[in-house]
Amino acid sequence: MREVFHNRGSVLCPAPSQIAPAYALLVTEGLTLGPYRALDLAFAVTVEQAELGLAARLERCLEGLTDTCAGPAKQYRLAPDESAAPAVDGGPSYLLRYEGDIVGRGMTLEAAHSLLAWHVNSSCVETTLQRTTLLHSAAVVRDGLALALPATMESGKSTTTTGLLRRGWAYLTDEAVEIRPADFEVQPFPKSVALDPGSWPLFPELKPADVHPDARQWHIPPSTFPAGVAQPAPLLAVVSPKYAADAPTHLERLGGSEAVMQLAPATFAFSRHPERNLAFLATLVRRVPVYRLTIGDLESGLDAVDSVFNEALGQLSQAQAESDS
Amino acid sequence: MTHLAHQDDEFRRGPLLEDAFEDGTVVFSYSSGTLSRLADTAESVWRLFDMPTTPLKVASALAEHYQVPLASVLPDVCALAGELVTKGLLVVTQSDEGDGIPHDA
Repeated sequence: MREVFHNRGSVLCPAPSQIAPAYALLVTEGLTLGPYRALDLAFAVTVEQAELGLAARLERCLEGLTDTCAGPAKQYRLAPDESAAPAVDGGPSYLLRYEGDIVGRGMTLEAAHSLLAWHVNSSCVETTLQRTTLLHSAAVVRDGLALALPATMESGKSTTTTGLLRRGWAYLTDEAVEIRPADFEVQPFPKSVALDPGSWPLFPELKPADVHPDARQWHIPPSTFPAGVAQPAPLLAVVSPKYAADAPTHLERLGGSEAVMQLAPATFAFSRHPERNLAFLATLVRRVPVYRLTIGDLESGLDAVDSVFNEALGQLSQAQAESDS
Repeated sequence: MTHLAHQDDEFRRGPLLEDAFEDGTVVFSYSSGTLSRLADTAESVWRLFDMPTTPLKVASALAEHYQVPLASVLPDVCALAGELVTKGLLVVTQSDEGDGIPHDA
């Protein structure tokens, strides 16, 4: 059975649980998802002759990036790789192209999905870096003000972010933060939250219904969380998290030079634009408080983040009251 | 690799960016592509290398400032100068003794 869809839309892509087995292999021809925007990267994804379940999963994974201002967009194309041998799982192989160039081939469906998610992040960062400094950081919002959580890989950014979202904070990103120098507003890059297996036991309720058995990450759409995606918000404070099993949770406010040294490794391609990046970090650490947070267990780590935010909010309110009087 | 800084070698700063904060100075070296933080005594030594000079002259200035014997300061200044060369923050401009070439410690 073959159907042709010319429109994107969840109406045409029922969740896998809603697809009767007889339709599980229903294929599409040129189903285009998007347009999407990831900071400076505008893109669309065309899925050719793939299971509808994949299209639905991709659409949910990318939903936070939906762009209402359609313009010129880079093109991803995911299609069966007919010249390749069956994938390692014995199923069909897939080929992913970006702007016509092959990104990966001979992949399982799951691997193709993961590669697409990774490539979108990577292309977003590379594109946006041409214009401005980017921190490898998560960001969340409460009371209209943003908190950035910069850290290198495997530090616990996404886990901490997910915990905060579960506590009612709104989401900006778990990957790359752009802070506009003019007004220090944090811009949203609301990709799906990517949770690694080590964090899954902390959030069993977030397990996607259609997660693939070989999945290496859960991709949680931001609409899953109570407060959803935030609008751009002024930066109030920075907390750099580091998970350390069995260590006591410890919060430390950093001086200016220590803060720069903490943030530089979390600055994408710091050495490629050192003047711009050092000037940005120097301004940042002089403008907002920067903390280093060692997280021994999630809940005490989240309490520490809450306390930092409340203190900074109190100081801001006091400063505003003094300037008004 | 650590540079063996001789007390009479003359050093000057390499090509770099720097920014001073209340708790130290951060310096980016174009030649090594690394960012370093200098605090406390290391920052004081760094500031004394703001013009071409030798570890001996820097150590003498520090010894006078802190009212301590030169011999208690000089080895540390030479060691730090060697580290700064390794990080690309200092370069040798001339050598009264030795060849001015980095040597493995």
